Amino acid sequence: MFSAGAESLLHQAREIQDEELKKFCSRISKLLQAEDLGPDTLDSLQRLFLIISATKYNRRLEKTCVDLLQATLGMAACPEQLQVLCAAILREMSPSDSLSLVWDHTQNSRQLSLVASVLFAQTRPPCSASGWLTGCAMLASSKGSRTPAASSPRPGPGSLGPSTHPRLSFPQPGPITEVDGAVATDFFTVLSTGHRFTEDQWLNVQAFSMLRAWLLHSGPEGLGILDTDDRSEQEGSTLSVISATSSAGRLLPPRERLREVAFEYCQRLIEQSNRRALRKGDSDLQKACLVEAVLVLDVLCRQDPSFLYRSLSCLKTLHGRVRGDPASVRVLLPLARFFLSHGEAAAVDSEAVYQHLFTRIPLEQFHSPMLAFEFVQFCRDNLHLFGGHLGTLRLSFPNLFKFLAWNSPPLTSEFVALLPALVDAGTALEMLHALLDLPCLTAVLDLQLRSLPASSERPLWDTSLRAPSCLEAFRDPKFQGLFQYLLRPKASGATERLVPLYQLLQPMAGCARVAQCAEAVPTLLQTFFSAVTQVADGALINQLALLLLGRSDSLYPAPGYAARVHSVLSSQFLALCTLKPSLVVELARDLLEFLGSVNGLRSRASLVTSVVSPQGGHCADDHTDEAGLPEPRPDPQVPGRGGREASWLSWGRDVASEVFPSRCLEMMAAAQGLSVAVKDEDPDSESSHQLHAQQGGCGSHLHPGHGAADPAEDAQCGPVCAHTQHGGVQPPISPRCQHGPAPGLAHGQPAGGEGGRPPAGMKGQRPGTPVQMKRVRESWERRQGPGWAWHPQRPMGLAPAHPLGFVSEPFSPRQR
Amino acid sequence: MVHAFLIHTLRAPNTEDTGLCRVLYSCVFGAEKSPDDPRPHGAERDRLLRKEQILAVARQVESMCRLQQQASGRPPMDLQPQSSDEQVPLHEAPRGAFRLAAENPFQEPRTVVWLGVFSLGFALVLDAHENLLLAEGTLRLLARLLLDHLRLLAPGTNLLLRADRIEGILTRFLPHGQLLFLNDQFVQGLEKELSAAWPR
Repeated sequence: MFSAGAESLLHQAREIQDEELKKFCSRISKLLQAEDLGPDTLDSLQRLFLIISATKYNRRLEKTCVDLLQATLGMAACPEQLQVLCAAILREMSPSDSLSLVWDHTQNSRQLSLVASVLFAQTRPPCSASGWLTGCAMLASSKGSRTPAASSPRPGPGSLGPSTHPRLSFPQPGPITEVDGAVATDFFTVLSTGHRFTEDQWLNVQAFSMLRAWLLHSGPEGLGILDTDDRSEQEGSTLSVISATSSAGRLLPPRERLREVAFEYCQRLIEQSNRRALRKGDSDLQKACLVEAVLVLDVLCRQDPSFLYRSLSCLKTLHGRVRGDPASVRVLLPLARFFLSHGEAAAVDSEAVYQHLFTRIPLEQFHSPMLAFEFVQFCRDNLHLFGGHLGTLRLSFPNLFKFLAWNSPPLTSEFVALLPALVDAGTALEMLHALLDLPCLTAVLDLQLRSLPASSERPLWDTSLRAPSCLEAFRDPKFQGLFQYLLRPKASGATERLVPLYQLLQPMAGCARVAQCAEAVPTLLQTFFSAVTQVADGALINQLALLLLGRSDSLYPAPGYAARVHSVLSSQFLALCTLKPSLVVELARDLLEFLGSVNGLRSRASLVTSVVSPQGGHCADDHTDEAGLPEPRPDPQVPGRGGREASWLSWGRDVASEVFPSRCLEMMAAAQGLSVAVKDEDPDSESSHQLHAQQGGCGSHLHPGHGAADPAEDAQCGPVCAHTQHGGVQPPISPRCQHGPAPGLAHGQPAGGEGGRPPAGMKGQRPGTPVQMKRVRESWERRQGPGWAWHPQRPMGLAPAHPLGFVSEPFSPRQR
Repeated sequence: MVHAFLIHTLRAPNTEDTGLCRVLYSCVFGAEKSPDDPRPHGAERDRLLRKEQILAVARQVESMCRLQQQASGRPPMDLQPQSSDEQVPLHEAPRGAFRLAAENPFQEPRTVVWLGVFSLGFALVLDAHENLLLAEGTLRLLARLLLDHLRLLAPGTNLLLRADRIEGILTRFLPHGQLLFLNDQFVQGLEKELSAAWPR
């Protein structure tokens, strides 16, 4: 369909040189001048169209050629193929200053229409008027372009009304039927069929197609370009026929008459849509007509509330009919909008409508891309109408997330716009869990589709993936509770740990749809946090901080997902701390537990860094605020502070280059601040005694007064051991330090607590070797110059002014 | 109202990214309010902008289609249909919709409805609050008419030099970008007219 030959053709059209184009135009000019309207001209014009349209840059055509194109367009005898090509070429050139088309009353309707199409591209009418002008052009073009009929009514809204009843207007070649084959007994509409259609029927179709735009433009909110007098005159003349034959027999002003006709037309369509269409195309059209009818009724009721009570009963009946029909689900959305707009005025209880809409539909139809888009658009565009039902919308976020989990590429931006409205303090924690679990939800939705009877010919799930074990797990009663929780339609107020599901569903973690969802989550998390911080009080902020730390090692194992999420969570954690600085104090114990329990440190480096860096920012030397909490402010009174920081950073870089990736460096350096402060809490704690009792190469160093210990030796001990050096007993953070191999992290530090200890329990790191540590120390000392020793020491200025007693510098090499 | 209709190439997913997304045909119905531009080459710039807007839509549609195909696990699209008489089941073809925010790339917010048929993408750029059911139906109809009347399934044919026929279809079934409520009977009648004006 698009072959190499076509690619070459496109290339040639783009690359044609001006000289060659000039010659080509001359050739065309000659053909047109000679009024040669045969195949050569057709072929040449097709090529010219391609040349003009293939490039985004302007092509200069000779004025003669342009004039001839315009003239050919106006020729009465010109075949349609050539006329459309001339118009298309002129349109493709637009906007251009070289066109000078004329709207000439002598042109036939097809020509008028083509000229209009060029003019619309050329001029820049205001958007609101373009539709109106389009309508006029269309109707003008249709007049006389179809099968000629005797004295057709003037085009316009008048074509809609009962005067187009077949028996009253024109002789018909056969009866008019409904879409189910029954003979029609009421006026003609777009859902009426016949053996052939006539001029007025064609106008009827066009008029209804433009009806909503007309109503909007003629209403108080419309930006009609006609002044009131002109509009009334036009409406009056076209409707004068109608008003005379109106079944209601009343004479109304034109605008009101238009609305009355529109109302009757919509009611007729709603009735006609209840018939079982014989053809698929007509069945599809019925649903489109229902949507349009409801939209038109909505406009009418807004313009004239007297239509409200007349519309309600038929729309309530319609709602009852379509809610049971999955094929008509998209009609529910304009209906819901109607009830949102007008339900209160009509004292209608719409709660049942929304319950059904938000509870059932997403569960059953999340996989339909068009419905998903329309549903989310409905939520987004009608937020201002939800009023008291906003709570229903908010509680339904688990169901709304199903659309997102299944169709993330087109819906991510929609949800970025919608999410702030869904965020609520009461459900924030549950929502955050749900966002983090979106990729898992995608996998579960796939399983759900596999396990249900197929609703369409083509399978809706990922056909490239077979996951028999996952399907088994989905059907296993043991896990029903967890699956049902994930698939819940509404916020439940409770959270469930879904870790067992992550393992069970691991085979599906790599599938494309899950990956697409996983890519969207970071953006949604950012949006969530922006919104939740507007409504969260102090307690909720604390809970959010703990939640995001807690979930950091509890994520569905989609490839790359954890890394992306950690990156967002770490920056959001810092943001929460900035928003509420007392968070680190209030959650101190929890934060320490987090650090103590950190497994696979490398993978969560960013998060750990963000946890400890706020602590590092609180210095015991700093001033405290009125509440006695530290203010993270540089303290110029601490001498040599800048130098110490520089030294620390330099040391840190050395270590990193030798032993650890840079992320771990940041984390480790920051962690030093944390552990120093913690040790101050209880130098005589049990853990310190345990430390003293420890054997295996560490004990020999565990006494005060130890001098400039060789860190290389210390490196063989656990992190705790490495720092129980000169400057006093440095108890570990937690007794866990005596377990297992020492995290290598610790061994990057100077022995003896300068800058404190890395948190105990940091497992899984390869310890730095003695040789490496010696190299680092030597390089560091070289850099510092004479007088600087690698000497473990308590940082200067440390005073346990508050429970944590953090310091800004992790360590201070003591100058000899 | 339809602001624009376009046909563009769709490259198969999971293949080497050779070549670019090509817009094979586009028709813009009416002009957007352009930003105030007192510079003398305003008209040319408007045209350039319009072309770039259409290309941006084509690329976005291609991306959405590819992602949908990947997500459904279908094998890379057959670039050529099996036979030229094959009835393409358009109801099963990949399709979707997405919104374009204001000034990205159009001045006003727009909605795009798209349909993928083998290696061709068809898209309608709509005003923000259109009847999407009608738009979807119209797009399917246009795709079917183009496939039939241009014999796009036959090997070796292309639509680059068939603009007249495309224009003929559009003037009847989407005149000036107006979506029409056409039942089957009307569609057949208009098709007969088309075939009379453009014998195959």
